[in-house]
Amino acid sequence: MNKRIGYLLVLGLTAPLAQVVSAQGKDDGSLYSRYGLGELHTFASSRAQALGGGGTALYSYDYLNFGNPAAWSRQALVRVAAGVQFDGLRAQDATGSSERLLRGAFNALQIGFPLFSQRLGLGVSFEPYSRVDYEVTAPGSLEVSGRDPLAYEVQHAGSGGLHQIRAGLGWRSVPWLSLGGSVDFLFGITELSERTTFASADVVETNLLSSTRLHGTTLTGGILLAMGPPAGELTFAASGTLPVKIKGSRTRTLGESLDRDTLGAQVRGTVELPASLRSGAAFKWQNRWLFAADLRYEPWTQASSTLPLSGFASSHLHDRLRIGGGVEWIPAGTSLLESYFARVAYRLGFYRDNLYVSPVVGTDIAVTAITGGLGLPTLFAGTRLDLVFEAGVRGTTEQNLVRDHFIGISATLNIGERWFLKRRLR
Amino acid sequence: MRYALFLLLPILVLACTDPISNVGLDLLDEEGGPEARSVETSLFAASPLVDITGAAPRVLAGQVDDPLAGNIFATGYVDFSGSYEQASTDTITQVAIRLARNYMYGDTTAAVTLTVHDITGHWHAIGLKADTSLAMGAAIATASFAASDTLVSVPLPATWISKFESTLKSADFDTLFHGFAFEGAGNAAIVGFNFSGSSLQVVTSADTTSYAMTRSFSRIVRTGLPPLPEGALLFQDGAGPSVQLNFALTEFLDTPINGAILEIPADTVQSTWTPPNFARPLVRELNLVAVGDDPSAPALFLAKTTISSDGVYRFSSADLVAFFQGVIFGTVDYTYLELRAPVPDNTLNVVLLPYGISEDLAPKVHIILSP
Repeated sequence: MNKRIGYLLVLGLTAPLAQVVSAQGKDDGSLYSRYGLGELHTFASSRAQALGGGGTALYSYDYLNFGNPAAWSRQALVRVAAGVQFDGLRAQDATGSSERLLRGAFNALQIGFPLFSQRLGLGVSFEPYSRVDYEVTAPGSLEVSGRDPLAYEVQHAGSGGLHQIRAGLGWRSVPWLSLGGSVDFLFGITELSERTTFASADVVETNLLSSTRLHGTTLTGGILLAMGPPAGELTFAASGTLPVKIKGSRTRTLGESLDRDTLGAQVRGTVELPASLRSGAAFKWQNRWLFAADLRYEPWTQASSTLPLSGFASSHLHDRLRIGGGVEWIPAGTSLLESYFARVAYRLGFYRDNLYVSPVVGTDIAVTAITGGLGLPTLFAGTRLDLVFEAGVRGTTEQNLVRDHFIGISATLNIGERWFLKRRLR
Repeated sequence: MRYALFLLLPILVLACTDPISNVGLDLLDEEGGPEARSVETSLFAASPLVDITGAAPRVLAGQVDDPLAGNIFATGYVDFSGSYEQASTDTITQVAIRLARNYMYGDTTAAVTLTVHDITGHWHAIGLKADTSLAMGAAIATASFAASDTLVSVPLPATWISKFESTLKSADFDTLFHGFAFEGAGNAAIVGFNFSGSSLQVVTSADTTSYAMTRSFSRIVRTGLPPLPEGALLFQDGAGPSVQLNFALTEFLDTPINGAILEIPADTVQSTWTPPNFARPLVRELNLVAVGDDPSAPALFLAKTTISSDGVYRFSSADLVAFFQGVIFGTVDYTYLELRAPVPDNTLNVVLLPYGISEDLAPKVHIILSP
């Protein structure tokens, strides 16, 4: 127990560290997060993340899988998973300019309860849905009558994003069929600021802040079919999230922290998010090998907004198609007697995605990455520390766009314990 | 677990060298940066402001007939302060007013004649406006000098000396003595005397005592203004008129602004064109103030400027930006803006300000804003 508390302490210390890194990085992430609702964030589980990020058909006792609520049905342990992620980014544009940027962020908090062991499971999670995280400084000069050109800098920065709280049930009606559903509450604030400074004492700095608050609720459903013996189980799964109209308000302010003036009236509106459809397949062989493949489709061209979100117009929106897959190898299988490294889970995956919004009309922003990771066993059965690595490329330098070479490392602690046991002896 | 933390270490080290990005600026260029928009005046007219000429370090006296600005009378009031530093038994043999001239407006070759009067009552200089009258007695002396003289000495008659000898020797001199008035008696020029170098000299058989000039006031009266060139306003320090102006900024509703540069072009050619040997100094420095509902209440100082080499008064300051931002946000109450000459200068400097002739010569404000 003491060790487990130690792990949680380490994680607790690392999570603020992620925020420190973010602060040092001055909220530097990809410039693409400026557009729409920001960069979409998906975290089904640390295992799924290492296998290409999908995980719709992943179905195990050791991990909570938030890629499909039907997967919550096969829970035997009370499980808590939480993690942090650090992303390094090298952004490059057509002029050859490049910058190395960094950010750290909280990954997710996931909790699962087996209401009826391996029959009915409850899942609750708090995780990011989208993230706005960038800072770019644009120099320029302004011609004003009667004086030398005024040199200025506009510092564009964005922060915040949407989060989601999900809660639902997974029910295994028959051994080969699981169904699940969740209520997903989306909420959050995005803040885009423009700080304009001049190299002249009589022209003052302005800091314009545009804050957008959004909230809405949607539903997710899933189905999972498991076939074959446990030693060679094949699963097919699908899940979908309903389109949702989230409400929001936008406020523009001028000034700093407590000394702000509100500009104009608060603008209220709605943002219509499209449905999300996911399907996948997984094959497990003798608890040593796991193969997973996933497909995600989101028709973002059907999205719309009455709030002024940058790039959120039909000409800039693209349907999102994400494919991914991966393989996991545990040399020792389920044996606890093998060496430590034989009990480690070695994972490798890939994915190909495209952003739902592009700064340039008609240009698709592709994301291609390889993923991998280690599932490190601990002294406690059912508890693992997962390290996930990700490296990829996002975008292109054509048409004044930006190409991001990114790497990411995340650490997620998956704790599983058996709770609510009835004493058999008195 | 320790190994896991070591894996995170390189990223933490990278964080410490993280720069601010300027990659992707071409994407942001499409969204534009700050811009400048020009707004012409909605009001540009002569202001009935009466200048404050009391307590200035210069006093004006004389009379001039300016073909551009008309006939102007200036009566100068001065007072002296000090203490008698000699034996009370010493006899005062001579008293003279020494005046150091440092300003001239009018015929530079003419002779200037001023009559000297006693001021008969106590007066306060601070805040006195140019149309104020102070009580004075009959003329006690006349000063005639060339307008170009930089030091003028006006000896006072023996009758005045005998009348004021006890006052001059009194420890209460500052209270008992109220000063002199200098009244113009010709149309040649108006001169300005500076505190520094001006004094009241009291000579005895033993030594000389100097009383320093400590108070001043200039009463300025204009008796006629010739027709002005079309499309121009006259601004004259001291004598007036001043200029009031305003802008309609409704197009900037709720818009944050970074800068405000107010331009008032001057017609320096006509302002400085004079007959031969005639000095009409140009207004070099101007203040910009905001006047509220009560014009007699203190105005809000916004900015000051000096005329540029291209003949334009350009006002710009952080206070001016804050003012215009307040106007745009509706948090500032004012009635109009006004151009004023700095009070300490106390001159009769002149400038013609064109308006409505062409867009280039129109008074305007350039608003720099972040749309």
